[in-house]
This record gives sequence, C-alpha cells and structure tokens, in this order.
Amino acid sequence: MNRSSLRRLHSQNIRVAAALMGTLLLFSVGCGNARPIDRWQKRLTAFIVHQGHKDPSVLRESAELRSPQSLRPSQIRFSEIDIAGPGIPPFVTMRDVHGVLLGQEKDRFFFLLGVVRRPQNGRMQVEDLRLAACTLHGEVHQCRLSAPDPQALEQYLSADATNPSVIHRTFPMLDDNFRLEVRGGLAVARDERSAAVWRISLHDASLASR
Amino acid sequence: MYLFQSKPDKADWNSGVPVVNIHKHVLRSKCLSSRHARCAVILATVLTGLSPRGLGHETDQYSVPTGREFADLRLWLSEYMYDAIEKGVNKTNKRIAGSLKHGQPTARTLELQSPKTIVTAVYFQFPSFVIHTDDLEQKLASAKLKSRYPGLVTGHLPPLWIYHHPALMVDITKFARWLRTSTLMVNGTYFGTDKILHFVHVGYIYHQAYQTSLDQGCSEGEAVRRAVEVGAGAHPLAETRILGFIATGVISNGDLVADYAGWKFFRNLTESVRIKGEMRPPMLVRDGEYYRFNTHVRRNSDFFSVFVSDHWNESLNPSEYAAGTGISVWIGEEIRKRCPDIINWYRDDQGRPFTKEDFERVARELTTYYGEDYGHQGNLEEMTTVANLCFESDSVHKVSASAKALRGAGTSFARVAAPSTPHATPPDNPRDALGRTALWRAARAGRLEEVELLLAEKQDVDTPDVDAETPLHAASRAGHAAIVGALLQHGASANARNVHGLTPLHLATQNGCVKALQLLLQSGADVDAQDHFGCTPLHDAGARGNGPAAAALVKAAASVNAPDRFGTTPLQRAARAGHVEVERILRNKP
Repeated sequence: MNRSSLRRLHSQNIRVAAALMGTLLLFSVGCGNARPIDRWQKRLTAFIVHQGHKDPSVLRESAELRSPQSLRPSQIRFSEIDIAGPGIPPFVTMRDVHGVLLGQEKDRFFFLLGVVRRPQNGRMQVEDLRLAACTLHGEVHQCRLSAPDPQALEQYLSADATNPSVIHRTFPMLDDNFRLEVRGGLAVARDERSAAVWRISLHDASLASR
Repeated sequence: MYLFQSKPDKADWNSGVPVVNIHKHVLRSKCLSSRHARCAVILATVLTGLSPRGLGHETDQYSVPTGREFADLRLWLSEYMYDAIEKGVNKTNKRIAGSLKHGQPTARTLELQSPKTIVTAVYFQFPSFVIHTDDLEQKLASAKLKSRYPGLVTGHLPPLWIYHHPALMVDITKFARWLRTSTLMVNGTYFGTDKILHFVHVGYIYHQAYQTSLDQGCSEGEAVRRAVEVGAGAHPLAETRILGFIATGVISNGDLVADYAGWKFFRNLTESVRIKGEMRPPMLVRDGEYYRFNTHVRRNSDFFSVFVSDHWNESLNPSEYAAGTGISVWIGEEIRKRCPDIINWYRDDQGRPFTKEDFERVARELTTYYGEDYGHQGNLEEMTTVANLCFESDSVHKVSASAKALRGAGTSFARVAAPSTPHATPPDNPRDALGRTALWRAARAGRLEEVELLLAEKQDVDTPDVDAETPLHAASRAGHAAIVGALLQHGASANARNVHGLTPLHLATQNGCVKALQLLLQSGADVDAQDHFGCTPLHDAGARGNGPAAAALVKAAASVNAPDRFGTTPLQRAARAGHVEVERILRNKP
C-alpha cells in the first residue's frame, strides 16, 4: 500500500470517527434541545389540522382525553413528549413541553408553556416557562413567546422548594392556579400561589423571543 | 397467565351447536391426566422459548411514568369491544336470515337465536390468544392512536421493571421477562394489556364452565363456584397451578379478577348481570328474529369501562408469589426502589398522596369483587404490597407526614374509592387547595347521602373551585343525575360557567347523561349556551354521536345551525365524526 492510499485510509477513518462522534453527540444532547417549543407548536398545528379539521375547538377535547377522574378535568392542556423508548441510550435527556390553555382573546389563544427536563434515570426539573400567544387560523399557526424570565421561573419553583413530597418537579402541578389578564395590548399570566408573572406584548415584536 | 383456547370444530359450528372441546376438559376436575399435564408444560416451555409473546404475560404497574399523563382509553376500548360484538351479531343475524323458511323460524333458527350461539359468535371475533396481546400492543403503539391522544401515554412499557432483579435471571420467571405487556389507563384504572386477554379468553371459558354447570342441573351458586375454580381452583391449568404459580411463580389476583369480569361480560351479552354491585341490562336484545344492540350500547358510549376496575391494577391488588423461592423478596427489593414514585402517583380525591392506610384499605377492598368471591389468593399482611414495603418505620423510603400536603408531582391519579360514610367538612378547612368544598367533592364522587346532608346544613350550593366549576358542574360531568336534581332543587345555578365557559349542560351532554341533561333543561339551562370556543351542547352531542342527548336538545329547540367561533355547526361536527344517527336527527329537525 503506497503512502497516498494510507493517507486516504487515514482520512476516511477520521471521517468515520467524526461521524460517529457527531451521532453520539446528537444523542447525548437529546432531541429535546432541538427547540422543544417548536416541536410543541408543530404538534399543536398537526392536531388541529388533522384531528380538528382545522377547527381549534378540537382543543376542548384534549381535556376529555384525560380521565374524568383526574383532579383537574376541566383544564385544557396540550403536551409534546420527547422521544423515548427502546434503543435510546440511557444517558439521553428528554425535554417535554406541556402547555396549559389560560384563555382566549379575539383570535389569540394564550398558553403557559413549561419545558420539563426529563433524564431517563434522574429527577425531572422544569427548566423554562414561557407565555405563548398563538393564532390558529387554518393551517398557518403562529405563536409568539414571552422572553426568557429566569426570575419568574425561580419564583414559581421556589414555592415547592421546602416541600418533601415533591419528588419530581414537573409542569403543571396539581394545584397550580394561573390567571390571565389581557389589557392594553399586554397579556399577563400570574401564578396565584407564587405571584410569579409572565408578560407578553401583543404589539411590540421586540418582546418576543423568537 | 393462560394457555388454552380452541376454535369450535367446523362441523359442529356449521351444525349450529358450537362446541369448544377444551371446555369439556376444563369442566371435568380430573379431566387432565398427568400425561396431558406434562405435555402442557413441555408445550408451554417450547412456545415460550420460541415466541416473545403467547403464553405467560406479566405486567408492571409499580413502574410508573412519573411526570407524564396517561390517555384515558375508555372510548377507544369501548370501540374495540363494540366492533367485535357487532361482527358477531352481524354474522349470527346473517345465519339466522339463512335459516328462515318463507320468513318463518325453523328449529335451526331457534338454535342460532340461543344465547350460547351469540356468545360464541362474539367470542370468535376477537383475535386468537396467541396474537391478541401483540394486536393490542401494536394498536397502543400506533401513530394513529398517538395522534388521537397527543402528548399522552397510550401504553407504558417501562425500560426497567420489577421483574428485572438479577436473581430472577436464573429463575423460571426469566421467561416472563420476554412476555411483557404495556400498562394502559381506562377511566382512571391502570392495568396491563394482559388483562384484556384474561377478560376475553379465560372469561369465555369461565362462561362456558358456568353455562355447562347450569345445563347439568347445578345451582347458580355451584355454577359460579365451578367457573371460578377454572382460574383459582385446583385445576391443573389454573392460575394457582401450572399457568401462574408453577410457570412464573406469580399468582396474579389481577388476572383472576379479569377472568371473573370477562365471565360477567359474556353473560351480560344476553342477560342482566350485577356488575360493580348494580344490575346492568343486557347489551344485546332480540328484535323480532334478530339480535341488535340495546340502547345503552353505542360505539362511542363508553359502555365498556364498567367492566374495568382497580382490581386489574397489580400494584393496588398485589399478586401472590411462590413461597420459598425468593421471588417475593427480589420483587420486593425492586418495588422498594420505586416507592417514592408509586406514592406520588396514587392520590386521594383531594390530590393528597396515598397513605399506608389508603393502600391497605384499597387492597382489602379488592380482595372481593364488590363483595363477590373471585378467588383472591394470599394474606395481605404477609404479601408483597406497597403498604408493607413502602411505609416501614426504618425504611429510607419512609414517607414523611408532610407528604400528605396537596402539592405533588404526579399528574395522573388512581380512581379512588369513596369513603362509605358521609363526613362533614372540617370546620377549619372548608375548602381544599383546589378551592373545593365538601359539597363539591361529594357531588363529584356521587355520594348522594352526603350531598343531602350538606345541603340540609345550608352549605353554599354554588361555591366554585379554582377552575370556576361548581358542584353542579362536578355532578354533571360525572353523570350523577340524582345529585344534579338535588343541587338544582336547592337553587344551584344551571348556567354557571367554568374557566373555559362550559356550563353543566355541556358537561352532562359530553358525559351522555340524558337524565341529568333533562333536569338541567327543566331548571332553565340555556340550551344554546356557547363556551369560549363558541360550542353549544349540541356541538358536543354531534361530536360524540350521542343520539339520545341530541334528540333531547333538539326537542328543547337547540339551534342546529349555530356555528362555533370557527364556523363549524353541530351538523358538521356529527358528519365529520361519522355519527349517522345524530346527523339524521339534526337533518330531520322539524
């Protein structure tokens, strides 16, 4: 084997190793980091278009898909669960997105979205909370998100910090009580227990994080 | 676990007298010689080695998907069962039609019209036991079902389950490791898909045993005893013998009660049966020469979940393990690892984690099927139970008293048995953390006696919870017509709205409770009330194909053409969902 063949083989090995490393890295960071809220929005659109024949009223049925025995049967939630199942390496961390419908105003639907980090063998943790204002017309849905607010997140989570019964922190919690107010082009969601607040301007695009 | 199933002999089937040969054997207590038993064991071993599913299915309700929520598959499972029954009815009716001579019944017609024939015909519309779990597992994992229940768990197969203890690798239960079945949820009850197999296949054999005993002149009680003995008695193939105890070391009380409920299902096809303590009318009735569905059985009427109960949940109704083999110790170790998650998962009707007493009470209640003996095995004080394992005083998993606080991590709940005795609201805690009064909780749980007591104490009848739902909302959603009536008599607002604008009439319609719906209409409920989506109760009747509710609403002058906020009318809802009966009612509105 001449020198150029050896070099070619060497570079091929490097490429294969790099591809393997890349694949491993992709798995290790998890699909969750690929903008979980985007996945949630796509799933929401698909649900309304296919299950609801483009009528967002199908969201009412998301409450009925739960057991009437659940403690909050009237709460309308829409979730996107990260990939999980056989073949996924145990070190991969999932990121689920759970949206609670807080209310509607004109053509907008307001959701409070919780991104929950879910390691396969560890405790779950809420790592982001955003208020979303979504217009759900036909097949073109648009959501505008509030800016990241670590302080509001911390305030919301701190209410459970001393409670030993909280093994895994997920979203929403059983007795979460959110209130929505839309006034003067501003939507404000408030957690009644922790007094954490999320705001989104309905006019000023600069407040949107995306 | 179960092993046996046999199709009727074709000649017998064609003669109209279907005979399932295995049942003859099952019924004779000494029918299986030791040679047969040996053959069965060899066959079981070979098949277990060859197939990942087929013989001994085990399930695990101790490994819960914390932080995720199960889809309630009550409607899906009702559709699944309805389709099988419908096929059996259609085939039988076709054969009945062929047997008529000049429109008049013949002796053959009478045979075909017998309950025995229709029961057998329905049974054979289900998949064979060999592929039944695979069929169910595939359906649960399908993209179609997942898109119908977005973000919710349709079937949970834990990556590590309680049978994963290394010591079990050298035990015969290792076979069961390959025979795992998913957990699903129906109306708040969590159970494995293997329970459906037991329900259908062993339940049918129970029914045959029961029927044959009656034919032999046995009393009702004796016939029931013989039926139960098929699974829980001394029969070699019983759960307590080869198929449970010997094959896997596990006697599943959940399996035994699924067998028992399956027997009631097959009986209930043609006769009234006591289910969950209440008499249920037959699902099929004769209409002239033919069979048809009774009015309460519709494809999407959730007629089936009445057969499902917490008995099927193996963490609430624990199994008995083979003594002296160490299985109970090893599985106990695995359960201990899961204690915090289990305790956070199961909650009472105020959302508080179950206490040791709650687990003990529920396990005790589940030793009988609403007072009937289904063959429960084991002594609860000595069994491997959550109460015995997770609340030991020196356990690192001990749950502190503060765990009784409402805050918790679970988002799903067990259906909780209501306390049998009424209790008044503690004076220092008139409303719980969800803002619900004692009246609210009693209305939801269907405790009429307690509701009347609290109403007599002049409790505020309309106090809403955090979701703006009043006791009338709660009773309407749960379909407790008598409580709806009592609340309305005490002045409850028939037009109260919850956080999404839903009225009690919407909820009664969604639930399909026509009696509650009529009571609400008589009390001045707005028949065209629109929620925040612009949907009226008639939209709900159309979407769910609830003909009687649609008829009652139309009779009360509900608007058939009222669009929701997005332009969809009740008629369009019914048409899109393929609910022909409702569509006809709405089109024929006078």
